[in-house]
Amino acid sequence: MNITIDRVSKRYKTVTAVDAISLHVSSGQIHALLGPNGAGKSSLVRMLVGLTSPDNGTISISNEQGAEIQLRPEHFAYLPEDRGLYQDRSVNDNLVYIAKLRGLDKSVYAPRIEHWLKYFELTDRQQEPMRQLSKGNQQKVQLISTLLHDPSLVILDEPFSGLDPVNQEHVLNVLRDLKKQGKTVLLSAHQMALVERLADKMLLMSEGRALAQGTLDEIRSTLQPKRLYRVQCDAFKAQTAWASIEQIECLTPIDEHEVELTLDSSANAASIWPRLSELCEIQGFALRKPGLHELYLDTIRQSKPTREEQ
Amino acid sequence: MSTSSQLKTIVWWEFKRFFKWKQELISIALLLIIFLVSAGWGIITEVFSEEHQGAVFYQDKQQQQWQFEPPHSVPLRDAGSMEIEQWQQSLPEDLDVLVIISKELEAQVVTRKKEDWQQPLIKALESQLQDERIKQLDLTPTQRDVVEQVPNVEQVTQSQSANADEAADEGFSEALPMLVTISITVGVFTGFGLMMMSITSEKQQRVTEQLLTMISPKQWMDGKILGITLHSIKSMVFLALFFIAIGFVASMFSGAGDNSATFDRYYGALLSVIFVLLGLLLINSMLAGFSATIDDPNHSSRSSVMLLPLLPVFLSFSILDNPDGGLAQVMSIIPISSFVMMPVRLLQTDVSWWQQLLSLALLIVFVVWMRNVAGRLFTMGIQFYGKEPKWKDIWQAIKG
Repeated sequence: MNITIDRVSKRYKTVTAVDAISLHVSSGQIHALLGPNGAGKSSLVRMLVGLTSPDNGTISISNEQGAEIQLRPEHFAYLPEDRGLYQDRSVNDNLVYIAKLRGLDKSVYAPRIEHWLKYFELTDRQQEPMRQLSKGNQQKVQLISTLLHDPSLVILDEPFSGLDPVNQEHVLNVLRDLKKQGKTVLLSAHQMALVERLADKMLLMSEGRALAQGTLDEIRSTLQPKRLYRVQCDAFKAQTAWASIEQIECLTPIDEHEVELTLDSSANAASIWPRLSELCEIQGFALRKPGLHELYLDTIRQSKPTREEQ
Repeated sequence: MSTSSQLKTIVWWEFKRFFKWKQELISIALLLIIFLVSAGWGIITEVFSEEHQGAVFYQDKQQQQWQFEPPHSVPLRDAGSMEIEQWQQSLPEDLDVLVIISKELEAQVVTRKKEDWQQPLIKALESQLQDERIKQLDLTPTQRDVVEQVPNVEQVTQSQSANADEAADEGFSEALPMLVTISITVGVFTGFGLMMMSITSEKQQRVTEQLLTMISPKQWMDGKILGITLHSIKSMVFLALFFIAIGFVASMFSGAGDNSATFDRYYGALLSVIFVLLGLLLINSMLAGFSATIDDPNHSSRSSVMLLPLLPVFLSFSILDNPDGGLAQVMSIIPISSFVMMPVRLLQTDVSWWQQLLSLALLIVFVVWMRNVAGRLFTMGIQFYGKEPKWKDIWQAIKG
C-alpha cells in the first residue's frame, strides 16, 4: 500500500500545525516522521487516518499495483499518541473487544491474541485488569490491539515511548517482521538511534514544515553538505600549519593527537591530503558521518531562532 | 464487518462494562434485606420493645363492672388507695406509670416524663373509656349500633377504572403510579450516572482515537445509548420485581387482589412500556451528546447542566394525584415528560385516543431528532480531551 501526501496543510485557529507537507511512502517500506514536540507529526498522522481533514492538499492511497483505493478501517492499523484502553477491563477483554470491532472471527483472533501475548510475555497476565499493568506493559497490549487484524498499512505515533530498551527492541523486531511481510509502516518517533536502525526513509519536520526527507544518506547530504574528517596528527602543530588553507572551513582539536576537520563542499579531498601531509604529518584519517541524532539536533537548533536571536 | 454486528458488539460491551455479577447480587441481597426488615418490622419492634411496669387505680371500684385492658407492653397491677397520693407526687422505683380512672370515666396518666411507649397506653384508655361511656347511656341495641357504627360514605366516580368491581384493587391502583414513577426515576438516574461515567472515562483513558478509526462516532454513540438503556431497563426490572414481591406478600396478608387481567390493563401496560422505552432512549441520547462535551466530570461546570433533562421526571411526582388536571395532560403530551406522565395517566385514568396518538407520535419524532443532535454533539465532543468545547461550538453542533 502506497501513501501520497501532496502539499497538505492544517491550521488550528492561529496555529499552522502542518504547512504544505508532501510525502510519498512506498509499499513495503518503513517511513519515519521526525521532529520535536509540536512539529506537526501527529496532526499529519491524524489527517492520514481520517480523524481530521486537511485544509489544503490531498492524501491518496494506492495499492501495490498503483491503483488508487479508499482507505478503509480493515486496511490499516493506527496506534495514536494519546492512547489507552479500558482500565477496568482485563487485557483479554480489551483485545477481544477490539478484535470483534474489527470484524474478526473467534477462530482468527483467539490464536493471534495468544501469539502476541506470548511474544510480549504477557500470557499469564491476560486476565488482569489493564490498570494493574505497568505503563510499558499497557503499551505492549495497545500495540497488540493495533496489529490483531493483520493490516497492510501500519501507522504508529510514538510506538517506543514508555518502553524499556528490551521492549523497544521487541517492537523494533515486530516492525522489521512487518516490513518482511511486505507491509507499509509509517511511524513517528523521538528515539533517533532506533529510527536510524529501522527506517528506510524519513521526514524531518519542524513547526509544521518539512526540513528534509529521504534516506539517511540523502538527509545527511541535504542537511550536512560539508564533509567531516577525524584526522590523527599532532593537534597543536596542525592548528598552526593548516591555518592558511582556505578549503578548511573549521578545525577543532579533539585531543592532543586528533582533530576534526570540516572541509568546504567545493574542496577536492583527493588533492588536499598530500598538501596537508606536507605541512603536518598525518597518521590516519576517516570520513565521519554524523548520526541521525546529531543531525536532528543541529537541524532543529538551526531551524529555530535562539533566544538571543529573537 | 457489518454495521449491525459492530453495533451489537458495542451494545454488549457497554452493558458488560457496568454489569458486575457480584455487585448485582449484593444489590439484590440488600433489596431483599430491606424487604424482609420492612415486612417484619412490627414483629421486630415487638420483640425488642421494653416492658414497662404500671399500676391502675379506680376511684369507684365497688360500682365498677368494667376493667381497663392495657397493651401487652404495659402490664398494670392494682394500686391501693393508701399509696395513690404519694405516688402522684413521686412514682416508686418499680413503677413507670400510674393510671387513675375517675368515676366520670376520665383518666389521669402519671409518668416521670413523656415517652413514645406511653402512646399505645393512652390510645387504649381513650378507646375503652369511650366504649364504656356509650354502654352507660342506656341505649337500645339499635341506638347503640348507630352510635358504634361509622357511617358509610360511598364514593361514586364515573371513571371506568374506579368502579365498584375493582374495589379490591383500589390500594394497588393508588400505589401503582407512584411505583411506576419511582421505577422510571431509577431508570433515568441509572442512565445519567453510567452514560457520564462511560464517556468521560473513555476520554480520560484515551480510548477514543483508536476506536474512531474502526467505527463511526454515531455508531459508537448508538451502541452506548442502547447498552446503557439496557442497564436502565435492568434496574427498573429489578425494582419492579421488588415492588411486585412486596405487593404479593401484602395481598397474602390482606386477602385482597383480584388480579384478573383485562384487555384495558394489557393495552395500558404495553403502551406504557413503549413510552418508557422511548423515554429512556430520549434521555440517554441527550446524556450521550452532552457527556461527550465534558472532559472531567469532577471539575466541569457542565455536569450540573446534565441534571436539567431530569427535571420533568421530578415534576411528575407533584401531579400524580391529579392525572386529569391540565398540567398532567400537557406534560403527558410534551415529549420531554410524556414518557413518565403518559404511563402514569394510562394506569390511573382514561386518556383520550388522540392524546395517546399525539403524544406517541411527538415522542418518536423527538427521539429521532434528539439522536441526530446528540450524534453531532458526540462527534464534535468526543475528540476533545484535556479541554472542553465552548458553548458556541456546542450550539453550532446542535444547529448542525
